[in-house]
Amino acid sequence: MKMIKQRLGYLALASSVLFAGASASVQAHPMWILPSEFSTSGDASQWLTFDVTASHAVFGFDKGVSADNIEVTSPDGDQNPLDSFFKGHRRSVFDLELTQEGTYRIQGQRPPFYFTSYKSGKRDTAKRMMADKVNAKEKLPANARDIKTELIDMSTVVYVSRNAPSDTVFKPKGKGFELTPITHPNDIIQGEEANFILSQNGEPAAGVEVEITPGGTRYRNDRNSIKITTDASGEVNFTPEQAGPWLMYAELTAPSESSLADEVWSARYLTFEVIPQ
Amino acid sequence: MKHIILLPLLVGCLSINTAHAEPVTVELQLPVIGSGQYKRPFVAVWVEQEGERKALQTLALWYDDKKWLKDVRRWWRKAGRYEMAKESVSFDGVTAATRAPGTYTIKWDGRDKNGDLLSGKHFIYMESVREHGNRTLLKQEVSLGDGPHQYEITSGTELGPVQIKVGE
Repeated sequence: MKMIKQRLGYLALASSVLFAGASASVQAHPMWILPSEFSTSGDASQWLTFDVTASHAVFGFDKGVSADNIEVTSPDGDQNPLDSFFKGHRRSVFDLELTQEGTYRIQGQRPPFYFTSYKSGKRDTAKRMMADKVNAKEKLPANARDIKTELIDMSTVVYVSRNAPSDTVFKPKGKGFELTPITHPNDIIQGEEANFILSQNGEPAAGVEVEITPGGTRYRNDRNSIKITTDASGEVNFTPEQAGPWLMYAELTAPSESSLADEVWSARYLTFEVIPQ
Repeated sequence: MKHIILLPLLVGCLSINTAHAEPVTVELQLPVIGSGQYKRPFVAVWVEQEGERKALQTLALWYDDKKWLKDVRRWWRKAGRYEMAKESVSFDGVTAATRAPGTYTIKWDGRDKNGDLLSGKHFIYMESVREHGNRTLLKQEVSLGDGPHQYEITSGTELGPVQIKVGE
C-alpha cells in the first residue's frame, strides 16, 4: 500500500504538477503568489493576504502549491518562513503582517530536483525519471540513449510595500539565474516604461525570452502577452498599457557545474501590479 | 481642459522673474452625489513637474483614516508615501477632515516644500476618491511666473468643475 501511494504521488507530480504533454523538455505550470494589495498605507502595521497556486490561466487557481518553501525578506534584511498557511487542493493561502515600512520580498522556491530524460526501445520512446545523473546511471536500461539530466530550479516572487518603497531586498546574489528590478515593482505605471534585468551568475543574461501577461486571460481570447528577448544588456524593457496584476516569466537553460546534471533549467516568475495613471 | 484666458504676456517674459510670488488659487467643487452609501471623498491637490518622480508640493489633503490614503492613488505614489508615514510636518496646514459637497478655495503661495518659488511649466493635479464610489483625477498644466492666467477644467464624476487662477 505504501509503495502504491508513493508511486501515485510520483506520477501525480511528474504528470500534472510540473509537466504537461509528452515533450521531453520541461513544461511547467506557472507558479504565482498574488497579494490582496501591493502597496499599503498607514502608521500601524498592515495585514495582507496572499494566494499561491500554479496555473496556466493568469490568475487562475489550479494546483495546490505548498507554502512551506516561501521565504519572506523584510526591508531590514531579516528572512523568515511563514508562520502559518492553509493548503487547499487548488491553492494555498497565507496572511502576512507588514510591521516594517518599506518593501518586502516574498519568494516561493520549489525545492530543486533532478529530471532525466532518455529514449529506449525499438521505437525510440521518450521516457523520463526523477533521478540525478549518478542515480540514473544505475536505473537506466542498457539500451537507453539521448540521455539528458536537468536540475530544475523554479521560483516565484512578489514585492509588496508599506508606505514609502525601498530597494534593500533587490540586491542580486550574483549566483544562478536572477530577475532584478530596475523600476520598483510597486511603481509600474500604465503607459510608462518599466525596466528589469536578467542575469546569470551576476552577468547580464542575453537572448532570454520573457513573457509578460496581464491578468484575466480567462475572460479574453488573446493572452495579450508582451514577449521580449533580452539583448546583451540583459534588460527587460516594456510599457504595459493595461492596469491590474501581471505575471512575468523568464526561463534559462545553462550548463550544469555539478556532476549530477548536464544542464540547469531555471524558471523565474514575478507577480506585479500595473497602477492606473 | 482648456486654457480660456491668456492675458497679454509681459515684455521680457523669457527672463523668469523669481523675485515676486504669484499666488495661485484653486477653486474646486465636490458634486452632490445621490447615493445611499455616500461617504465624503478623500481629496488631494498637489503640484508636479514633468519628469519628476515626486510631487513638489501638496496644496490640500482631505481625509479621515491614513489606512485608505493609498487609494488616493497618484497622490499617494507621488507624495503621500514619502512624507505622510514619517509623521513629517510638511503637510501641516494643508490637511483637513473630509468635506461635504460644495465649492472650496485652496490658496497656494507658489512655493515648493523647501520654500523655493516655482516658475515655468508645472502641473496641478486634483484627485478625489470615494468609498463605494469612483475616482476622478484631473490635471492642468500651468505656467508660473508668467503673469496672470486663468484656467478652467471640466468636471469629472467626483470632482469639478475647477477654476485655477495664477497671479492676480
